[in-house]
Amino acid sequence: MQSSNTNNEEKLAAGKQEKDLGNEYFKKGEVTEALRHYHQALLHLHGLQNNKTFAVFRKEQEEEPKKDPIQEEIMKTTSVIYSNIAACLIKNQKWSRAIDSANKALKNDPDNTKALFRRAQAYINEGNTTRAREDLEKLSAKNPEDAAVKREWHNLRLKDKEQDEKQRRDLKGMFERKWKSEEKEEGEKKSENKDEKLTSTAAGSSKTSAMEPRFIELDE
Amino acid sequence: MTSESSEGKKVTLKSCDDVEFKVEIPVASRSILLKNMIEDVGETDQSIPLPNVNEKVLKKVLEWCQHHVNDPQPTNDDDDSRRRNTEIDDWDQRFLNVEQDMLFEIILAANYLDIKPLLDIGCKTVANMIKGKSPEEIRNTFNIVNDFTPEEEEQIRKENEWAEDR
Repeated sequence: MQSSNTNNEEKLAAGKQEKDLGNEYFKKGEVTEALRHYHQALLHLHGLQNNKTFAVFRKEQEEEPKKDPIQEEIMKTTSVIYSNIAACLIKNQKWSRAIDSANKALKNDPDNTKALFRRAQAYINEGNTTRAREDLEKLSAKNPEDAAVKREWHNLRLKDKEQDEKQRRDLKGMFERKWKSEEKEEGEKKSENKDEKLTSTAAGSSKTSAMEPRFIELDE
Repeated sequence: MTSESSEGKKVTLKSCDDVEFKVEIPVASRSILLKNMIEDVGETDQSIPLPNVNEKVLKKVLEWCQHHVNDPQPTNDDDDSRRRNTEIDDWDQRFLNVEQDMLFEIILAANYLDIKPLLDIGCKTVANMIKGKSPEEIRNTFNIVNDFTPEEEEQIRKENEWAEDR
């Protein structure tokens, strides 16, 4: 017991050291070197989070009162490392890997706001506006005046617009092709298409109008 | 066969007791931890230190990775099918036919390196060691000291009577 704890303490210290090195490289703009050290930090810490709660016993463990402080610090540190990896991957425009890393950061520490913010950024860039909106809502609830969060709301709105326009273009292209190939039934078809088109734009505008109030709330 | 270039790109892994292993990238990538690292950092000549695995265990784990190098990567990590299936194929059974200490070390390393299929078969092997045994036999198998009082034992027996298979 005692020995495994001191062992964990040593590993935690080694992991933190690698993490700090990673931070230094990150500040210098050397993203690849930063990533290397963050991953090496994980190589010290990975698996320690579960040592006591290992596999089958996990459920039982969750009902127990409190984790020991070292365990908690290991999880916090692991969360920071994954969150910083996410920051590197966003710089490298690897969106899905960034989301994956942010998820792991949040798993180790659900209150890691930076990780949540980075996941939102990655979702926006990947085009998953639904998920991005969920994250930004959580962020705004925590920190309504945060300028960076407001900026991402703006980016999200741009992305939404971009996707809407693309969808409209695609749909339009589809209908035009349809009209050309089915000129015979023009009368019926045209009215039908019109209906579809109407509903699609209606859906589009209701989407933006549903978003609008949130921006107003945010800007207060 | 002798030249390295003919066998594809390699990475060097270093065990906690400072022994280096040159491994092909697809083999090392059976470990999701290493796969992510190699993917993020890119190919590298620097060795990757594995401070939580020793030479003996790493050698064994890499043997498994080599044999399973062409298996499909497990996609969904919470897939139920991997839990339901209790079968272990012949090669894996032979592979895990080791001392109990080694078996547990392999399980810990598979957890550490994030190699889910290896973790699964390791845990299944342990489960099979428990299956069909009486409490006393299980205690003997895993060197567990009975810390129940006779009263507690009686209580547990009563609570679980419904599950008895006779």
